[in-house]
Amino acid sequence: MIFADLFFLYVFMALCFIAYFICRKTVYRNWVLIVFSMIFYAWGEPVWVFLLVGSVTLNYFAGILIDKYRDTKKSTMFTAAALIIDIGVLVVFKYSGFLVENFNAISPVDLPVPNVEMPIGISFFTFQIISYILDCYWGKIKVQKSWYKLLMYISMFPQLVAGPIVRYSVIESEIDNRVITSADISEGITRICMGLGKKVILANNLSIIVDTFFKDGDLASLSVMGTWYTVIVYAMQVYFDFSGYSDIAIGLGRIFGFHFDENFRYPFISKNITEFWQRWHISLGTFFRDYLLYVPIFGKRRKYLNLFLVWFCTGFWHGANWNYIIWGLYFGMFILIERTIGNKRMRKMPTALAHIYNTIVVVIGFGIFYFTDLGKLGTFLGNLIGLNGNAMFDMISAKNMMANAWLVIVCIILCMPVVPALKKKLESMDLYLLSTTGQTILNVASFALSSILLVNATNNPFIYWQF
Amino acid sequence: MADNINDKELEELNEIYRQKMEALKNSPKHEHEHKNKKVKTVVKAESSEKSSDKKNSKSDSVNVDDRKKKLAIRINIGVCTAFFAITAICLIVLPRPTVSETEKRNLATFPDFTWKAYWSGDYAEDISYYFNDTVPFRDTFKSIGATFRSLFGFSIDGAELNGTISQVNSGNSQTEVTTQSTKPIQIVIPQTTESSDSTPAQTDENSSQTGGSDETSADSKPKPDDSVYIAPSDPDAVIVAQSGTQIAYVGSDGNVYAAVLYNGNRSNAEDYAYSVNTIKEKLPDANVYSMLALTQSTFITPSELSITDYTELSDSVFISNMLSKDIKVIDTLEALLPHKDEDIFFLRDCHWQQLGAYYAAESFAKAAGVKFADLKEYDEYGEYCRGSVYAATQYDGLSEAYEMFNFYVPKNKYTTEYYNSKYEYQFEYPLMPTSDYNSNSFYSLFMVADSYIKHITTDAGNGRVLVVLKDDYPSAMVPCLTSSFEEIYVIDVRYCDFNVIDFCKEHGATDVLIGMTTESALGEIGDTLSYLVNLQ
Repeated sequence: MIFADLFFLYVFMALCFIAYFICRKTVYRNWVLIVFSMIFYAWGEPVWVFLLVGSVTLNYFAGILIDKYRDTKKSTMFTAAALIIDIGVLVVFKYSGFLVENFNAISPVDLPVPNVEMPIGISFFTFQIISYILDCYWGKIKVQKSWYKLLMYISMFPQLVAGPIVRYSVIESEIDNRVITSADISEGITRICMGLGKKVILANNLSIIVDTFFKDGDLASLSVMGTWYTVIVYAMQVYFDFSGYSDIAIGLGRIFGFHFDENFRYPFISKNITEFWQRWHISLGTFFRDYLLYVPIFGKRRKYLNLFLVWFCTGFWHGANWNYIIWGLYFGMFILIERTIGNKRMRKMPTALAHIYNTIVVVIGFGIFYFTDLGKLGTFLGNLIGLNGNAMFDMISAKNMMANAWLVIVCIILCMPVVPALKKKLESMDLYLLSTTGQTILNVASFALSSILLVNATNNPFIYWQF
Repeated sequence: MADNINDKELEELNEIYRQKMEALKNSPKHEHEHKNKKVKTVVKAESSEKSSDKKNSKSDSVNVDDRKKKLAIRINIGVCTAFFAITAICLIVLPRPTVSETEKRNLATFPDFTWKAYWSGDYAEDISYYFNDTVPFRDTFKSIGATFRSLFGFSIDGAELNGTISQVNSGNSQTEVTTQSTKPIQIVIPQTTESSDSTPAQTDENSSQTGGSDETSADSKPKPDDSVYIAPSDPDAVIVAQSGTQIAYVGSDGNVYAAVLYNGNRSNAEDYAYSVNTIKEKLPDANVYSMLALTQSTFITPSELSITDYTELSDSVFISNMLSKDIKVIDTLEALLPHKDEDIFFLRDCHWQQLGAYYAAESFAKAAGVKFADLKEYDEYGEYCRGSVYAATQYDGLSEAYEMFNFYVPKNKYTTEYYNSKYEYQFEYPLMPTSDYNSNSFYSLFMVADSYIKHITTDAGNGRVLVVLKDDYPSAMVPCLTSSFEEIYVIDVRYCDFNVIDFCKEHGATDVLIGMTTESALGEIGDTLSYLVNLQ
């Protein structure tokens, strides 16, 4: 099941809210969340519910044993065993085909390539489990003694299949004690409405432009301008798609009384790549920072090699394909360059130049992200600078720009924190009620229009769903 | 209001202060310092009151902000929840449509529960699909959605551009065209042994849709000009609306046309070929035919609008070349080319007219060696209809662009039974229910709906039993075969829950026709056929 679906919005979510708020005690509410999360996950792939529950059960016992044998070798052993199994499951389901293919390519053997169907959201819930186990081992959190509470944390449907990656420590106290205020519900409603609008009104319509040129069109003959136009649109599509999903997840969490961390903070206003990754998919970036970057794997050389490892993993996490690895290392390279230059010098760069630098690097990065076919990726990169003999300008792209001018302009504006700034301004002018009433109207309009656009909609999956 | 009360109190304090001062003036016994003390006390009191006022004022301000915030929160929750609840109730309670008049199709039905469907995830997905597909007032909402999308762009040359424009040649010699060559593709169809030797073709399409029976080739005597296929061309065609691959475009003649752009993926060709070859392998005694029906994208849509590297024609040849020699290929190019100037396709709908289907059926009947009824043996009807592309694009220029839908009801005797996807009997009904079909859903004239499996029993009396495995496209062709086969089973592979080879065996099929568009064969329908062939 996906969020941008009428059945989810008007049947599943409605029933879930009713059941949740009929129950007054937290323990019953936790069970409501578990039941609905299982239905949510089983909706398209019932078989994988067993994998999810099995994984939670195994890590539940691992957590208990790690706590029982704390500060002994056995604790380390149980931690290692749990991590090996968790990562092993991820490798089998997500990477086995890719690894065997590449092994076959560089060796004389010809092993059969496994065709394993990947359970939805496995990358996200595996990382949540890993964070739980490591935090248990490091003593950052108290081990969860209740199996069903751990199951609720891992399987909670708002963040189950496409993040954000919610750390156990973030919601640890709220599992047993959470207070739902009317302010939480109001904020949650706003986040859901805005998130749905980002996905359905903006991202879905931007995807049509991208498909026209990158998927259905003849890439080799696309002009330089057309290539830049399409890849910029694609960057915005991914942003609105994924941040829209995160908004809905955070909004649902708020209504249920959980306070998830933000996953996006207007990444396109960044002045450098380091800052961009502090604003883009924050939960993934902080995960690698906390669980991989500062782990002394490479001894004295860890400064650079850990950085390489982090960005290799960041890319590889997104998919079993070389373009994702290139994508991760591409960003790692720029972050290394920025570190070498130093923060002070980077800050001295004129603001306009810094934004241009950041935008170009990020946008090209999204091109690398899009093309899983390395041949097409090469064509795309050549197109950007006219290396394929393609023209600078073509009428098709120009007409497409005109046909979608307002959509693209609105999207560019909404990539910047214009709405929060406007609300702040209205409130400073003592127009608080105008600001909040405007937000309410916007919420209803966004939800209503999204619902209309979802009638018999096709081609609607979230991009990060596949990860 | 709080400020007014404080002012009043302040005024009273000032009055007290003035009275005290007056009293002091009138009393010489009072010491000077005494006086000062009093004054200080009053001033202090005044100051204290002022401070208290300030505090109250700030507290009131905070209360006001809190009240505003609470009010805003209540409004937000109340309004949004009310909207959400009303919409949810309407979606659940209001009757759901079963047919889309603008899209001319039956809408999804609530799926039947089976454990198999449940564990595969299909059951749940079908419920979601049913819910999304049958929203009350869906056509109205889709129209609103299309209107909203039309706001994305500018109006150019009087044509409202919305959605996307792809692969359009502007017609301006100054501009570059990023599409494939606009040079017309010419190929020659080998009609006879002599003709195939005489003229080499220019593209890979020249190999033609091979496999057509010798009988077919020998009987066909088209005019020399009719043997040449020239890809349609209109360099000035401009797309004015698009939804996926469905487009509305303005031709160089200024008229608005509609098309569904061919978007087949050649890399999936093996699935279809494997399925057809397997059917023949498992049914060695039956005649197995493959018909990859060519559509208006080959005959009418300007090639400049193409969005794929390969054409429908070249892909159909590519697939046909992967079929075993025992498969008889029905060459629809050969069947339709001599009639290309007749009304064999709609100009604003993705289907062929029944006349086009008739010529394809004629070609098939010849390949099967059965008799075929002349057009005189049909009752002819005609009605103006609106093409399906309007529903997808909601382009205003298509809303009133009705065109004549001609259809032919065979006069011979036959009965038609309708079954569900598990082949459970449902009802008996006319093959072409002319009395109660809807002109806005005109293709449902052919055998009511694709979702039913049909069993047609005719007076042909030749013992031939035909099973048709198809997508929606060949529906118009089936009525043309009622004089040719004694029994006809029609199965749309999208609505079938059993192994089709077993079905053919159980029903004594002498002939099996696998008919669909090339894009269907290369897409999900081809995959579905593969699934049904292997279904245990």
